[in-house]
Amino acid sequence: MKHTLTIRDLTLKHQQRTLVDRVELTLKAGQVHALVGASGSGKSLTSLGILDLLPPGVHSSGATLLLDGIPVEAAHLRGREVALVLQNPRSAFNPVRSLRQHALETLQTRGLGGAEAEQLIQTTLHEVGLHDDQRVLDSFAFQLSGGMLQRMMIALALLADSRFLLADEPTSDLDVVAQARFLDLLERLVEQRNLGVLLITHDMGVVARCADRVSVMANGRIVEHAGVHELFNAPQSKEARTLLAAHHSLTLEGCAP
Amino acid sequence: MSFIQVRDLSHGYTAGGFFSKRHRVHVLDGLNLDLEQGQSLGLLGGSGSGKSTLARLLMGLENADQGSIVFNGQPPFLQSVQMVFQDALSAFNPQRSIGWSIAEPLRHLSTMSTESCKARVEHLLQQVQLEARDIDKLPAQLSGGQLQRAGIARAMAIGPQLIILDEALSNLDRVLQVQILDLLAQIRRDSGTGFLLITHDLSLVQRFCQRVVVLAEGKLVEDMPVTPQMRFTHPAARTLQEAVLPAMPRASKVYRETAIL
Repeated sequence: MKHTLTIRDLTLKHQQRTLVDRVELTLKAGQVHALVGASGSGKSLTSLGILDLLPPGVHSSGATLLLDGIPVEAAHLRGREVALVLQNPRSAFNPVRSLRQHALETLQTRGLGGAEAEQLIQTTLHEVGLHDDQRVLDSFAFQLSGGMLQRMMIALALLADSRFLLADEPTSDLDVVAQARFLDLLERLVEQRNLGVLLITHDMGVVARCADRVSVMANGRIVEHAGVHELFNAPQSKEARTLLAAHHSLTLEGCAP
Repeated sequence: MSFIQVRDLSHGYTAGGFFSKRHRVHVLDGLNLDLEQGQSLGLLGGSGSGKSTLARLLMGLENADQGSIVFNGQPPFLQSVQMVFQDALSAFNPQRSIGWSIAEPLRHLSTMSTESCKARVEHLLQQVQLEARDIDKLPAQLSGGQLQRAGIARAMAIGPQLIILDEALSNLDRVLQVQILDLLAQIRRDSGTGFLLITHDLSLVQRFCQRVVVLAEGKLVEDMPVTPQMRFTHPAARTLQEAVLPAMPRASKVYRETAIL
């Protein structure tokens, strides 16, 4: 069992500009760690940097990844120990391959195939709430709703037997009902499968709903680390207070002027 | 006397055709709605409930299969109703300046001279808290929040009686959503423009609207004034209300955290 994934000293640069500055994060199995910040604060780049999936021109200068204290290469983590769920699920799938082909390809990396693979795919799809599994598997990405595709992304992560999940704004493109169902699923998997999750979001409602620990990011730096109760009751950084003020003005007052 | 009267509105689309059998999808089914002048109304509904279809019919972009929409005794006309769209970037001509786009309703719907158009655009930019130099910028040079403000300025240009916001805040982060709602509340107080806020997010309605209606199965299933304690009774509306994210973390998280430590 893998219990912790530690990221140390993650620095990302584009030419001379520092976009992400010495970020340190530790993900624990069975916990949701939220990474929050305004648009453009470097949240998404951090998640891509962890897996070394950086856009052209952005360079990482020697981050250290530790899996249970043992140094590992990003290339060995992605798609295996660590899975990634992105904001726009439609663009994350290959448009000319059916979802069945995606699932089979994922299992191939684990050396599974044939009837065993089919059976595992079916149970995993049921686990993430895609009960109409044959129709989903025969479909292409453009034929399914955003909420279904996000579930499929999670199913692929489970098929890869990933212990850790990096979720970059997974619910920002979903409506509130699909969002609530997705967060229910995430919480259930964290509990039952002991998944460790890095949840990137700008919505403090999502954080309140399911995070255990929170890191607040601003201008490429982590400006605050706290437990979720600590953060909501006594935010220390200016950025955390701004995010919470916007959140509370929509949720606490609750009435039109 | 209400300002907009919608009576027995039914509308649908034809689906399929290329690979599958053609069939009619019914979206709205005998819908009735009365809108007061200067009111801010929230229109809530899940995905596919027909919110945007209703908006398109109110705008006069499509003609309804059945039923009628009457504005002060007349059919809908762009001079009295304008719209702000969800995807601000695709709602602007990428090759034209922001100022040109904001002035577009003025060129088509008014007889203003070029100079007074420019003065009006400058005033509008100021009203939505954009800078005067943004007038010459291209859409791609503005951020999402700025561009949505420009969209609001364009909708206000002709001085409509109603502005429809079709998921116009859904792509913005919370901080920007609150800023824009406050701006809209200010505009409503100053100019008496009515607003129809179409969204699936009840917290935005609670912040901005005086009245809320919920659309499900082609009809309005709820219609009530917005109060902090309001509770929906229809199942589809309850689902939307229960999906609202909590204001504060749950107490039980503490136990889980300590259990892990």
